[in-house]
Amino acid sequence: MTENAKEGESCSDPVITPSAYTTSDAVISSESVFIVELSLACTNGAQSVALYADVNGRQFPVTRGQDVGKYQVSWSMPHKQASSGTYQVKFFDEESYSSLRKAQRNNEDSDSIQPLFSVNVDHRGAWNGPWVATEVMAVLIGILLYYLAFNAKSTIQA
Amino acid sequence: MRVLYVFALLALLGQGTGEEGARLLASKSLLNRYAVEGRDLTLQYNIYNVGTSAALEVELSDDSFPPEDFGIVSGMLNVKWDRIAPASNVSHTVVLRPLKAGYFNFTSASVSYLAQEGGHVVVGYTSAPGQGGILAQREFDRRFSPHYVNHSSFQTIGMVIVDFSQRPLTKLPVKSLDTTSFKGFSLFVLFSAL
Repeated sequence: MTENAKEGESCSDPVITPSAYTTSDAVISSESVFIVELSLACTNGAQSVALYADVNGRQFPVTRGQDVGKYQVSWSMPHKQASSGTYQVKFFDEESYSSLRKAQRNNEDSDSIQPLFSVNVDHRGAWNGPWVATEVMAVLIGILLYYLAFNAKSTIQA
Repeated sequence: MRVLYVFALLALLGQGTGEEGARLLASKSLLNRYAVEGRDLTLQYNIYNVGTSAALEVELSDDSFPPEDFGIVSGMLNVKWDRIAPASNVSHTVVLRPLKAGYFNFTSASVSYLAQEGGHVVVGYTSAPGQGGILAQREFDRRFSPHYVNHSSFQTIGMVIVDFSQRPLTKLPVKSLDTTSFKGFSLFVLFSAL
């Protein structure tokens, strides 16, 4: 299928300013989301660089913001699958992305394709609430105290 | 030969009457169980291309959140994709923080794209999550926070009461009371303070 796609500009010596967000509260949110925003500056002044992201084998297109050089990639997964740790997000331009897809189609080693740059996202895991509800702890402690008091009372009165 | 002409004609007609080009369907949803003032509110936009060719210059723009009512934690509310391939979808997430409690009507965002190379701009809207309530911090805490202070102070007072109830109370003006009734009373006092 031929199409007259805009020639993706290539970026030389990319300089990025990334910032990342991951879900930290699993009580309020129903899924864990990951967001990576970045500003990209290229020494050759290229402005409309098309980027593609790859995270642990999942590929996403990278959206562009209103301002030049601003990009965002985001994905979501259920809390159970979003294990804590570092997620490496590799960013590819048109050329390296098509080599990546080709390598995947031919079942070649896709890790050898060099990304344009990559960003590491630290996910600390989402807080699910305390393991034991505090009300349960309070009841147990209350019962324990009553038992100790009752024992003390019996030994005093005995 | 005539059959060939008939086929060619049908093919041409098919081109004219069928819907060619890209067609985007977009949804906007809240990934929150509860919307709480001062806590993260996660929004997800999904755009599906159910057409026959790629959608070009796709722009998603959401200006339904007044900046004085919602702060942006992460993500951008106005984004674009160069192209969305046919029979594929893209997803976009934004995290906001509601600054005020109360009811809020979550309305649609708008999506504009070119159905074909050099075609005219098509404008559509995402689905809208609708009216929702944003809980005040205090109400949410009342239901869901661990209440560490309440529980520990109750236990401490309980222990003090229990300790005193075991000592001989002959010199005190109050008669010795049962531990359970004192605990019940202090429980009532503590929780009524909420």
